Amino acid sequence: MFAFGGVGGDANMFRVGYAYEQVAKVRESLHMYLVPETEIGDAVG
Amino acid sequence: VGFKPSRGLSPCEGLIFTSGKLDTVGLLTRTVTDASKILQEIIHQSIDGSHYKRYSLRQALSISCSSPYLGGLRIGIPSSLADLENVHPAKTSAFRNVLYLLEAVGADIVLAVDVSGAEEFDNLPLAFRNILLDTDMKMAINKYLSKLRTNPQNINTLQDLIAFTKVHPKEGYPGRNVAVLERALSTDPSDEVYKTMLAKEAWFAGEGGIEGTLRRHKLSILLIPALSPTLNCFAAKAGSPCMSLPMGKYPAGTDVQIDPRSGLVEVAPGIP
Repeated sequence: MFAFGGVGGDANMFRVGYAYEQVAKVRESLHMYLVPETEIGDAVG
Repeated sequence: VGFKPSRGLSPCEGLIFTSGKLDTVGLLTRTVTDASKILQEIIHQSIDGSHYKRYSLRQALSISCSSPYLGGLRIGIPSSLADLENVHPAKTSAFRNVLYLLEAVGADIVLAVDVSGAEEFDNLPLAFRNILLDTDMKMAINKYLSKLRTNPQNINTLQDLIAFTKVHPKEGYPGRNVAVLERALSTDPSDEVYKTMLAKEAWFAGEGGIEGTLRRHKLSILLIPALSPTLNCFAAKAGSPCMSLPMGKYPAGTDVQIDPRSGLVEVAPGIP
């Protein structure tokens, strides 16, 4: 799916994306197609 | 997860532009949290904007990935986009589930939202729809080539590039053709079509596009189940953000569809 926001509304898109990821467990259903999670964000942030 | 931020959030130094007006550097990550953290770091290191503005945005991004509760957030679902007339039933079904989940965590879902400029844009001839991008592309490529310090193939203009692409065996012409480049080459900023579309640009980027739709319906974002080149184009014109998210995988029993050009499997059981 695709989400579109207003200029400067970046955080709202992350709110929706994060909420969806947390409740839908999409990663689990796709895990066989993805390499293991590396927490790249933690490494960068 | 794919994310294209608001124009100006990510630096564009070193980019070979297709369009200096539309191009923005985006992110491809495994999770929304990863994208958020990388974007926060990009903003942190950016020299654009005030320190306070950058700090506020980083805080907002950090908070957005701390709780799945969406209370007070209004999500609009456009219903009459021509791009979405033939969405795969599996995607439609998955999208229905998405809306159910988002509503369950507090979001207000507003159905049948009308993007007022979409129909007008879709009904434009292809030459009108692409004229601004094509003209930008010609200027951007010529500008890039003119700045090269090393140019062993002596490609100095878009015309040179097209000629080179047609004769060099590794370019795979005509299987990989130069139609888009030739369309760009034929543009002229003094052309009436260009001037007409330039005058309409603000309408498609604003009231007729995403910004106007969000404002009229008091929405935070628009959500659609599949790719819409029209909304992508409106977002690029406005410099507004967009995000793509996986909805799962095609179920067992799905008919296999192969892309005729690439020969790759596009749709099949288990494909994300």
